Formats: sequence, C-alpha cells, structure tokens
Amino acid sequence: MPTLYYLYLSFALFFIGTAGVLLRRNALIVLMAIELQLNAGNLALLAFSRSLGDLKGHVFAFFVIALAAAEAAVGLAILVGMYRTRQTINLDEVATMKR
Amino acid sequence: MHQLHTQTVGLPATITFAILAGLTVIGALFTITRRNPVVAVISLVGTFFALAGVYASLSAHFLAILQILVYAGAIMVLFIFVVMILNRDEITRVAARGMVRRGLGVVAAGYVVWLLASVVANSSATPLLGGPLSEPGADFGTVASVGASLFTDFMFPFEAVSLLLLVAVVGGLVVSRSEKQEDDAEETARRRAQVATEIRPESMVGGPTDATANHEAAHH
Amino acid sequence: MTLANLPSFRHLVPENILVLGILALVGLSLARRPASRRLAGAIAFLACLAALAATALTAESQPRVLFHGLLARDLFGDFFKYLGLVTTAFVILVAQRSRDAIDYRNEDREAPEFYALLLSAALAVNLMAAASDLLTAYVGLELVSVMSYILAGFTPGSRRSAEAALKYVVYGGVASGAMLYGMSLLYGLAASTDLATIGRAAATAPALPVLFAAVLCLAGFGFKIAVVPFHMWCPDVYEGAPTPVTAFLSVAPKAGGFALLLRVFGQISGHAQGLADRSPWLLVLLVVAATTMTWGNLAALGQQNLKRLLAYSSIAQAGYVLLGVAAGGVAGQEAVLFYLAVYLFISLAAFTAVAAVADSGGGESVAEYAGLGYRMPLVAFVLSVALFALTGLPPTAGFIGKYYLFAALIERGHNGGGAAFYIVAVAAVLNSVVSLYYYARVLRAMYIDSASATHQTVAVAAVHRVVLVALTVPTILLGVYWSPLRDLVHAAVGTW
Repeated sequence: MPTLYYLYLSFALFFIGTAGVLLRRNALIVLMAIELQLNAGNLALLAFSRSLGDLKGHVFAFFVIALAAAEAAVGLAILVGMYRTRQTINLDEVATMKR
Repeated sequence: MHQLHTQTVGLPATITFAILAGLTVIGALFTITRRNPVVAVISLVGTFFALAGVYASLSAHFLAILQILVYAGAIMVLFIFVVMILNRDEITRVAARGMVRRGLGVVAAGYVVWLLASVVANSSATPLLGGPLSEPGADFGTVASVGASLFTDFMFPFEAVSLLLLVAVVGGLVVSRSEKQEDDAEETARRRAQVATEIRPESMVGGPTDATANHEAAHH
Repeated sequence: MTLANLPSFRHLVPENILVLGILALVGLSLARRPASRRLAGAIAFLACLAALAATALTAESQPRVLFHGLLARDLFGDFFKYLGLVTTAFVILVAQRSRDAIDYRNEDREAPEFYALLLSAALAVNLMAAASDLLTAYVGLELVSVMSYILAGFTPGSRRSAEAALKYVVYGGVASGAMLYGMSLLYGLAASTDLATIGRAAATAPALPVLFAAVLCLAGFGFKIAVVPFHMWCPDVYEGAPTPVTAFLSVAPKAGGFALLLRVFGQISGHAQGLADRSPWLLVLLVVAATTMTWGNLAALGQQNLKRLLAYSSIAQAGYVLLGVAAGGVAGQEAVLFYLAVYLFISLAAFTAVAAVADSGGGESVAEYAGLGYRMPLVAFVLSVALFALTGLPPTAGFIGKYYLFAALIERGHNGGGAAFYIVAVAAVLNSVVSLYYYARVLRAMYIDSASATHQTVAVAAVHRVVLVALTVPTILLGVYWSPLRDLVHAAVGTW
C-alpha cells in the first residue's frame, strides 16, 4: 500500500477526533476524541517510519503511547475530581467563571 | 525490483488494508457519536484493535502489540472504570447551544485537513509519500530492534518518561481527592492517635492480664 | 561534538539534583509525618538553589550535544534554565503562606506532593530549554503540561480549581495532538527528528508541507505561551488555579515554550532558503503576534477579577515577545530573552501581591482592592511598580525590554522585512498605551478610591514581604542599569 493511503487514514482519524472535541460536551467523550487525535499522529509516524526504513518513528510512537497514557490518567483523575465537586462532567454546565 | 514491488502489493494486501481502515474509521465515528459512554468506550477499543492491525500491516509489530496492551488494554480499562464511577448518561447527544459556531468550527477543521491532505499528496515530496512501500529488513519493527534503539540511543527520554509516570501517578491521586475525603482522613487519624495514647500507659505496666487491662482501660 | 550516554550525565548535574529532590519529596509524601509541610518546602527550595548553582558552575561557553543528539548543553539553554529555576524558587516561597495551594492553616494538606509536582515542572522546563530533537521537545512539553494540569486542579473541593484543570486538560490535549501531527510531518519530510537535520531538510523540501507542519507545531507551542487562537484556556486557568500555581504558569512554561519556539523555528526558517524565504511564515507569525497583543489588551479592559485581568495582560505580553521571535536575527532573539527575564520579575511580583492580599483576607476583584495603598502600602507599591513595568514605562525594566523588542522590529523592517514590521511596531506601541488604561484602573482603586473608612494597615507575612522586595528591586534596578543582563543574553544567543 502506498504510504499516502495510510496518511489519508491518519488525516481522517485526526479530523474525526477534532470534530469530536468540537461537537461533544461530555468531557469523557472529549478525552476519547483527543486519544483519537494522538493515534492519528502515531499512524502518520509509523507510516513515515516504514517508508523511510528508519526506526526513529517507532521509538517516537512508543513515547507518544506512554505520554498519552499519562495524560489520559491525569485527565480522568481531574474528571473524577470535578465530578466529586460539581456532580457533572458536561463542559457546558462547568462554567462558573464568566468571560 | 519493480516486479518485486508489484508482487508484494497485491490484492490480498489491498483488501486487508481496506477492511482495517474501514473498521478504524467506523469505530472512530461511533466513538464520537454514541450517546451512551459505555458504548463509546467499547467502540474506541474496537478502533484501537483495528488500528493495531493497521500498524501490523506497516511492519510495526512491537507497536501493534503495545497498542493492544497499553491503549486498548490499560487506558481503555481506565476509561471504563471512570464511566462506571460516574455512571451518567449523556442527555443530549450533541448540545444545541452554540451549535452554529461549533458546526462552523468543524467545517473549518475539515477544510484545513482536506487542504493539508491535498498539499501533501500533490507536493513534489510524493516520491517519498506516494510510492509503494519498500520491503523492510527482517527485524524491522520487532521488539528486539526497537528495544535496542530505545535502550541505547533513546535512554534519556526513556528515563525522563519513567519519572513523569511516577509523578503523574502521585499527582493523579492528589487531584482526584475531595475535601470530604480529606476531612474523613483527618478524623480517622485523630481518632487513631487518641486511642493509641489511651492504651499505651496500660501496656507499660508490667504484664497485667487481659481482664485487668480491660478493667483499667474502662476506668479511664 | 555528540556525546554518548554515560559521558553526557556529567553535564546534567542540575537535572540530577532536581530528580533527587523529586524522589525525596515523593518518599516524604509516603511518610505522612505532621511536620512534612515545612520539611518539604525546605527540600524543594534547597533543590532549586542547588540546581541553580550547579547550572552556573557547570556552564561552558562551548556548546555540546548530549545523549546521541537528543539534548543540547549550551548557554542558550542555560539561560532558560535560570529562568525556570528562579521562578520555581520564588513560587516555593510564595506557596509557603498561601491558602489555596497548600493551606498553611491545615497541616495535612498535600505539601510534599505539591512541591514534587512543582520541581517536576521545573525539570520539564529544563528539558524544553535544552531540546535539540523533536522527541525531547515533545517529552518536555508533555511533562510540563501534565504537571500544570495537576497543579491547576490542586485545591480540593474548589469548583474553580477543578473547572480550571478540566478546561486545561481538554485544550492542552487538542494542542498536543495537533503538534504531534506537525512533528510527524516534519519527521517524514526530513527523515529524522533531529532539529539540525530538519533545518537542513526544510531548505530543500517543498515549502508548503513544511509550512503546514510548522503551523501545526505552532499550535502546540502557542498553546504553552498562550497566543491567539490557542489562548482560550488562559483566563479560566489563571483565575481558577491556586495563586502560586498561576504565578508559576505565567512565567516558566512560557519561557520553555519560547525556548522551543526559538530553537525549532530558528532551525526551520532561519537558514538561507528556509521557511522564512520561501513562504509567508513570517507574516503568519506577525499576524498571530499582532492579534494576540490586541486581543489580550482589549479583553483585559473590562475585567474585574485581578487574576483574570493579569491573565489577559499576560496573553498580550506573550504577543509582544512573539514579535521579537518574528523579527528574528540576533537582535530579535536577544530582545526575546531580555524581555522574558524582565517579565519573570514583573509577573511574579504581580501575582505575589495578589497572593499577599488574598492571604490577609482580601478578595481578588478590583473593587476589593480599594484603599490598598493605605491598608498594605508595600504590596500596593510593588503592584504599582509591576503594572508600570508591564505597560513599559521608564524607569522600570519593562521599558528597556519593550525598547529592545521595538528596536529589533524596526531593524528587521529596515533589513528587508518590509512594511509589515513597521506597521506592527506602531501597533505594539498603541497597544502599550491601551494597556495603561486598565492598569491605571487598578492603581486608581488602590490609591484614590477609599471605599472603606478604616485605613488600618494589615500585616503582610514575612516571607511575602521578602519575595516582594526581592522581585521589585531588580525590576527598578534593571531599568537603570541593565548591562549585566544584556551581557548574559548576548552570550546566550547564537550558541545553539
């Protein structure tokens, strides 16, 4: 498969992730959409790595997975903390600070 | 060489890629459109499995397994736990407020991504990006080769990320605590200290029997 | 000269000290002793000072590349390490007497964890300052982001704090996703993640994909320095986070972000036939900077909450500094570094003043600052100096910093940058004038409006007084005699 097809797939995933962040108001779904974006980046890295024959892309993707795990864990912990305080995880309802 | 390329990129490979890519996209779409968070998480797990298949077709064997173990396994399980803790359903699938502005944002993002895709496809970098993938070495993307690279050339970020994970765990515990939890913990600690100071004088007195110890404790 | 792993550790003494401090604090947090708050603060502060001393002592004028090309040790990175560590040291002092971060009235608040997170963020800023590879840049940026998310949500049971942290996570996640995509494109175009190689490849690769990749990377870096349109998180996070954390966030991640900006975009656009020559990249930077300045200043005009006002002001300040990045060249980079150092003192002074007022029971709105000139004369004076410096009035260091920025812009416009640079310079001066309006509103509240009849002076904690004085003295001193800083900046620029 030409590298380009993999890149198209990663573009599609990135767009779906961005759309999810913009459209959904449930913070949990938004965090999942962010994970989609990160996976799109990973796919692009691995596609380039394959076409270049270079393993750096694999190592970078490895770190992205580790860092995404840390970010997801912290994001979910913040979500739980928010739920304990406000009993909601809807991003629209969470707006005590006025613009 | 050219024949080798056309032989490796045959119909089975194309069909496999089409199926995996289709599953990935469908799973991603389901994730962002489901009303029930549990269904959304399950579809994301499915997306990650399909993505792991795509990675495997890119000869990224180690990363494919890692995707399943860490992403689909660990991170998604974390999401499921949180969904169970929160135990709420989304009332509206897509909020009505500010819909026009957000819709415009999605259209703009789509346009930008399409622009990016066309730029990348039509640029003169296409020989790098568009040609069929060359046959990699036998140990490309295996655990051994990626591990060797990771532990020699990239040892420093590896250690830095391990420190990050430690501090992130500590921080995660801190940030999800609630004030009530704090007060309860303080109360328990205070009570425990109180009980300890009450019993300690009795234990210092040389070996009384249990009955007399309880008797004396009852008097205090 | 690229060093292998083991020989490189010799150059990493400051980071090792910070790691030891972090591990000691994590161990302390497990011990759960009642006196841990003071001990944790002492450990963290000593670790910062030791790391500062180590950076100064092991600094070499000869730049080195460490760890097979991942990290660089040069005076440029050292300058930003100084910024990060000084910020952390001051924030540790301010947090000692803060009610919303680690409440000193309550012995069991998680002090060791707070300091461990703060030191980790400082370590991350060190990584960002020294990155010579996309991977290290990404790891450093993510580390500081994750630490910031946690620190922003540190106050338990506070609605504002939890909301601030959640908004920060969401915006930050999107920004990192976009930046990662840009980095992957750069990797594909250059066949390497090393910044020097990418710089060379940017000169030969087709311009448009490189431009797109650079814009995506700008999303991630721009998020950290809070420029438009990646600034949405800034007011809410600055308002909701505990005040010492806000003080830290207003300087350290910004410094690290600018270090990355200068390194990465300096490589991509700095060379001949680089991005600057073959695409409207400089115009993009100028537009972003000008929009940021204007938006920040206009939005600050109507703010009543002081932390929010300072947040918008800090967005505008990042816009000014970005102008220096766009100006480029030696003059532009020197202006950026100089202004960041000056901005450290000013911003920390302003937020320490806010923390001191909050500690004495006062609120955070401008109306509640009425009569502060009589109630807390030292705090009001320090805040006034800081606001004057933010506007850029002499004899504060802010004036010198702005002067260098504008001079770099004019020089670049003179040297073939075109009329855009002149226009933006004029716009920046106009923006400074506009900013005087909302700063003056705070000054008026403090000195002229005396709503409360009692002008009884309120005590300010000793540690706050020390910090306030220690920050104000350089602000005024550097406005009069700034050559030491200028020499330091001059030595730092161009070593990467």
